[in-house]
Amino acid sequence: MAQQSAAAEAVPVTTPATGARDKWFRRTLFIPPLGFLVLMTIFPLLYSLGVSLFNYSLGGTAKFAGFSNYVTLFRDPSFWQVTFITIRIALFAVAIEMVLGVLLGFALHQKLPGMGLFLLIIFLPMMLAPLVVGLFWRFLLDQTFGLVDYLIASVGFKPIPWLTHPRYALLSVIIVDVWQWTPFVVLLTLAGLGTVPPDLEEAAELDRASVWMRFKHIYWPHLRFPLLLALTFRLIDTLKLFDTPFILTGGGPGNLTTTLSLLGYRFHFQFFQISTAAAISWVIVIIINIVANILVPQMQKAPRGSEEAVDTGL
Amino acid sequence: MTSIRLENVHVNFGKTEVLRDISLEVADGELCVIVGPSGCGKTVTLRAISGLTRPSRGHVYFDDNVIDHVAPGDRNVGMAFQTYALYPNMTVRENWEFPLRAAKRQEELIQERVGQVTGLLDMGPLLNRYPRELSGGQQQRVALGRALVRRPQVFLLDEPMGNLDAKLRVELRASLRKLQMDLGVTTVYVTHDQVDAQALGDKIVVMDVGSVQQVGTPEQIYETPANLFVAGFIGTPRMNFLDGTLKQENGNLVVEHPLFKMDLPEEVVGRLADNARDRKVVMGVRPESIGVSTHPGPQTIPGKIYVCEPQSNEVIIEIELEEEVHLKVRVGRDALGFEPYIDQLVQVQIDPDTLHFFDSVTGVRLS
Repeated sequence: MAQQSAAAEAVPVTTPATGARDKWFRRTLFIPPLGFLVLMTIFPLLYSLGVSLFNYSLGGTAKFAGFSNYVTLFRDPSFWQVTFITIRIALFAVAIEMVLGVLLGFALHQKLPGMGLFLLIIFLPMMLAPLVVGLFWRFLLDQTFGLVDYLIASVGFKPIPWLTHPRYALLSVIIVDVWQWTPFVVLLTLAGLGTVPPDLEEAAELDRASVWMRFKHIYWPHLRFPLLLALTFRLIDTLKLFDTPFILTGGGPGNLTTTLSLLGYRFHFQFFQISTAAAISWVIVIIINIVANILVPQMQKAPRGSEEAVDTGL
Repeated sequence: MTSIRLENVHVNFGKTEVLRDISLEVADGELCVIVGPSGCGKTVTLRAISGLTRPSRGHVYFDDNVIDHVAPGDRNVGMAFQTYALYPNMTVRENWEFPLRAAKRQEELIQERVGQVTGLLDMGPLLNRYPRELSGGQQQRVALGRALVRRPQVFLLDEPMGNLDAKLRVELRASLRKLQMDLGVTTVYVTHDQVDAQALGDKIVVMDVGSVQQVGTPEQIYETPANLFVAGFIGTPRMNFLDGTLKQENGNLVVEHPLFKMDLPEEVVGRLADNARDRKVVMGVRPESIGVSTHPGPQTIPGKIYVCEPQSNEVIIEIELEEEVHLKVRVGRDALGFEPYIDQLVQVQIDPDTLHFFDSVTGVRLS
């Protein structure tokens, strides 16, 4: 017995490090990320908020203006037009991306030979720089030189003025966004489908569950989270859409494809009204915040049946 | 009602051949138990019947109709998965209702069937739990229940009781057998437990390394195992194997072992094939057909008790005949007549009638 306890005592025991010095060390570790956050995120944010509250234009002196920049903006009918266009682009593009992405995801979930290469091609648009995408779609949709109109004309239809006609310009912007970002939804759908246990699919197959029952009971619980994530990301992204309309249509014809970001850009770099541009940026921030505040809590909700296990009684 | 037939079924996973030339037949209303060690291909055989795994060669028949190209859902089979495969976002009740709702059954019928299964599996208080709120054994009962509610043509049960405690297992085994007979549903039951196999099966299929070793009734499998594998797999403790030689001596056939020599009676000789002379064999003797006593008698072999494992009314004794040559013996306490202890010197008596002979090279039964 004595020997045993001696042996036990000889084992070095690691104690949790307490003590003031250690506590300070741990806190010091927070300083770099905190500093980075303040410098790169919080400062520009507050600065732009400040700018939006002053009457600040390039070359002039800044005067405090309160909310007058916002008031002017809200009285301007073209601001509301642009806001609704932005929301319309976001809603339509994201709705199409979600539906198409989920359908494609299910199609690509099947294990067929050559699927790897096919997946690579599908994901290619997402990997391209927006500038490249915008430029080559501008060529594709060009009324005079574009491939799309050439094909339309070759089957005997009238070429469509994709980028210049009020009816088609908005559609073009949506098409390009759908083309580039549907793969993102596909990716997240595939990620979700990959977590469905294969024996559940087999059980449902043997139970002869209908397509809808399988979707609702087998796939949806595994798709809910990734799809909410995709929806949130895509809505945030499209609400601040800038590059596609900037390159594709320049916001035209008229203001018909101008998004809020593009409007802000114009106020800053063309009209040099920096305060108005900052105010527009803050409107975007507020809209996105509303969207995020609706969607993010949904993600945190646990699906049915996954609550903490209770006493099993056995 | 349905009979099942597999004809020369092969299944390959990539380059590995997991099923080699499986042929077996399950008659209408029969309960067939497929038994074998882990990885012997018994689950894959079940999956081939359900259609979830496609054979690379060979055919599956239901009632003489080839169903190779019938989708799993259209084969009308109820399967209990080894991994349970319960729908996690549904309660026990909803899991059971699912196949019935999928088949668009009347609400009254759904409730009636769910009620029956609840009673059978004793799940009353747990109906509104989610699978993750259940223990392994309870989940297994839910899986079994989901296969039962639908009343399919064929039950395919993959280790449906592997996770149940002993008491529940014995109870459920009896009620499952009763239900299967009442419904008359053709059933294939996969297990690695040979006790389950013996207790349940009309027919037992013993499998090893992807092929069928023997098909027969529980008695046939026990009394005339086709080869060394089957002989060693069925029965607890496993059959004792001793190397020996069959010889002709003074007109009698004898079996010779370094430690003993035994005359074989007429019946045994008659059972053996004519070519079973002058050759090396493996003798098999079941632990329950060996006698032990403290006094030497005719044709007894001396040995020493190596280990004793008392059971409730029996005792399993391992006896050392010499270094590396051990025999396991299972005898009733009353039949034994003495209290065995380790290192006790005893006499072993083997009844030559009960000997099994196998080819020492191929392991095939000689008879």
